Amino acid sequence: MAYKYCTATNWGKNFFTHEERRHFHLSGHPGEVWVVGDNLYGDQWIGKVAGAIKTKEEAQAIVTGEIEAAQTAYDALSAEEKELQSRPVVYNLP
Amino acid sequence: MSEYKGIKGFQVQTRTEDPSPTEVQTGDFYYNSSTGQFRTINSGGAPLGSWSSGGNTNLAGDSYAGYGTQSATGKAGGRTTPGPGPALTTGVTNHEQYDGTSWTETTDINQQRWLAEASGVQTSALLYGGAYPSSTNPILNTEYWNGSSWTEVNDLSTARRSHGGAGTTHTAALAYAGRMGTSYIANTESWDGTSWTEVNNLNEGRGYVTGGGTSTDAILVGGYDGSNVSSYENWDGTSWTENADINTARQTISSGITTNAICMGGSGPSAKTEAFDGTSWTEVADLATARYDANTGGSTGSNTSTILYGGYPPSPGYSNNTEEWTAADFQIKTVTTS
Repeated sequence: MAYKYCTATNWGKNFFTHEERRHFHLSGHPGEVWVVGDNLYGDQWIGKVAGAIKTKEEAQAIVTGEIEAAQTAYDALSAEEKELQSRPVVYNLP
Repeated sequence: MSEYKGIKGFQVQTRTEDPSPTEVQTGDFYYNSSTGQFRTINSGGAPLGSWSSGGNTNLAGDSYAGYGTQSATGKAGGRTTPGPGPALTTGVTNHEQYDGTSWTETTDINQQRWLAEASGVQTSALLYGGAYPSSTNPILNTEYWNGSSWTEVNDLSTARRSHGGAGTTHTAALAYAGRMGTSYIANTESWDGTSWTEVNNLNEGRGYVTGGGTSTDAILVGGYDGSNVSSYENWDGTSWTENADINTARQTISSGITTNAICMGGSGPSAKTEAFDGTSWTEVADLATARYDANTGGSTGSNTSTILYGGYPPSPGYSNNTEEWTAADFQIKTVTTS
């Protein structure tokens, strides 16, 4: 499956609808990065949310930066706090 | 004389993608050219649904207590932080209600807390347990919401946090499982509108759950007991019975009753959603955004309608995003030769 990448701020209700979710892949990632299925419906959604198009490498760099910042914050936590959540792990966008 | 259809066969519709619920008809048969598979539309089974965005909460946070339904829910307590998270902050007294479109701040709870649970509806709810100020201090405190103010009522017998809760009124609720000190407890307590009474234990103690259901038909899905748990237990008003496991062991958020339940998100963080049809759990459409320590309206949700809000994604700070699950009563099946 082919994807497009963009950044957009989730404003809440109707940022993405049930109908849109059924027509194309959509997943949100740290740094307000969105991975969008590369089809007509996905393009229309990017336009609707005024998404700023990124290359995959640019999007990955944003996500990685966010997760590394979260890792730094996690490493500074007490043992008690660390029990509540696992250390964020850098992952690759599809 | 042969007919054309006897020689050439029937034409089958070719689609580049599966039909949307507004297009679909039970009994339809088509070829999905994107996947290279023949598919049929059947009724029943695991729900075909999706998550849409709901209104953003006013206060970003996690570890809330939630009550109500998808279009009339509420969240109480939780934790938030003004700076880079997930720094430990004490629980908050914040209380917001959702009308299906937007969240509105309303009367605060009395006792700051996070990792608590709640039952009931927007005009009548019960809030119980949790932790304050740190997670190592589980509390007994119970509060009753009458639609305009919170009143402290009789305490739980066993302090707990990260526990399960069930109940659709303030006069009948269930508190179960949870973390107490270093233990993952199996203890269950029943609320009759006045006080908590200890009843039969779970089969497997665990914490980091939300539960769901009513005081006579409650669920406990997944969780953590030192390792992620996949088991699913049902309460029938008297005792807990083990049922079919979820597919992915994790700390997860759940709602529904014994025969009609859903679990979503959780440790990882995960975007996975699983639906239970009374027999088995099936993985269905993912959340848009993976997160854990979120919460849900909980008690009265189902595998066709629920809500998820807040939580901790793998980035600094907490989420204020809401997602709403709605499912159609049909399923798309791939045709196989076996």
